[in-house]
Amino acid sequence: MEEKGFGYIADVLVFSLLVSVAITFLVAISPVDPRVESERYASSFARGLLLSFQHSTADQFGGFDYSLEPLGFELNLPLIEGSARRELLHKTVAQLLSEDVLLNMRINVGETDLTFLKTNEAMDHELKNFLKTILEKTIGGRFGYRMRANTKLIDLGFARVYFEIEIEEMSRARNQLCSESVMLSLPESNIDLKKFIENALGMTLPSKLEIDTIIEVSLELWST
Amino acid sequence: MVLHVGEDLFSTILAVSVLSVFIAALFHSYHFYSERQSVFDGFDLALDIAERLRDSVLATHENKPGLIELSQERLENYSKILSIQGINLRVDLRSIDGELLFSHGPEPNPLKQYFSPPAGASLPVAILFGQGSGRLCELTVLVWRD
Repeated sequence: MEEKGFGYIADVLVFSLLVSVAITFLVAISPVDPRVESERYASSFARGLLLSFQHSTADQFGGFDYSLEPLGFELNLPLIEGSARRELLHKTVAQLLSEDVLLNMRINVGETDLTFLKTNEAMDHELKNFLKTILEKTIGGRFGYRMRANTKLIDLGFARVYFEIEIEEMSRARNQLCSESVMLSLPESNIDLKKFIENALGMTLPSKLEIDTIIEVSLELWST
Repeated sequence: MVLHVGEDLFSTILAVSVLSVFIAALFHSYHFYSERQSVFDGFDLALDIAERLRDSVLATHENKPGLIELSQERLENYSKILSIQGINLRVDLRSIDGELLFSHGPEPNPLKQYFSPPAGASLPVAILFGQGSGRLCELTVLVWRD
């Protein structure tokens, strides 16, 4: 009988082993994949944020302004102090982006970036800071992010005309969860935009050249 | 089978103890599994409701994507629909600085909801503010079952 008793223990131990394997499987197989849920949430979050940029005005983020001086500094004279600053309080974030595209298109000839002295050049830099502040307030801490706004490249053969702005906080980013984008239309027609570029280049563009007036704004969210 | 006081009894006690421990572990695992499922289900439901509020229930009359208008009446009606399904709803709207601008629905009772804690999801939205302009806010939805 003593041997039988130990036999029972062996049976129970084998049974327990089977139960353990079953438990391991049960714990390992999650009812829902957490990554799928995170991606779904991130995607909805990014889409909501990009869409709300089309309605949210600059004043609620402390306002947006920049210096009209081409070199970015103002003369510190009592009478003209502050007169070269341009304040845009009631424009939406999307409108600010469109305006930056129109005022700060980049022209590359070969490998050289033709940067002229533009009175609105500071807008590009200030807008980057402004967008970074908004993104930090809305996303900061929850996700790593990369926001891009760009136009379709206009290839003229000898020169390339484009616009691109990128703001990111990827110091703690691990895996990409989503990438959402919205298309914004520039407040200029194709013809006006063509004239605008012709003026900037100082030459007439080919009549068959089609220019897209769309800005693509994309937002990637990354897990931290 | 004849049990002898001594090794056989000891063997039986040991066998029953080991079996009990493993059965308890099985129940614990199942509890962990179902709790996890319930957390995900709750989050999924909260996110579905937040998206529905943003995209249809509180959408503006012009139906501008991303822009909502606050309406107690529409929220009240939607809460009634959810309560028929045994779901309680609490909606908070906060500015991006964290200031509470609007809330709707009862707050969950921590004691009552001990076994069924509320699940929440929050999404950025722009609320209609003044003449056609929007204010960026965070829409937080809390849901729980009685």
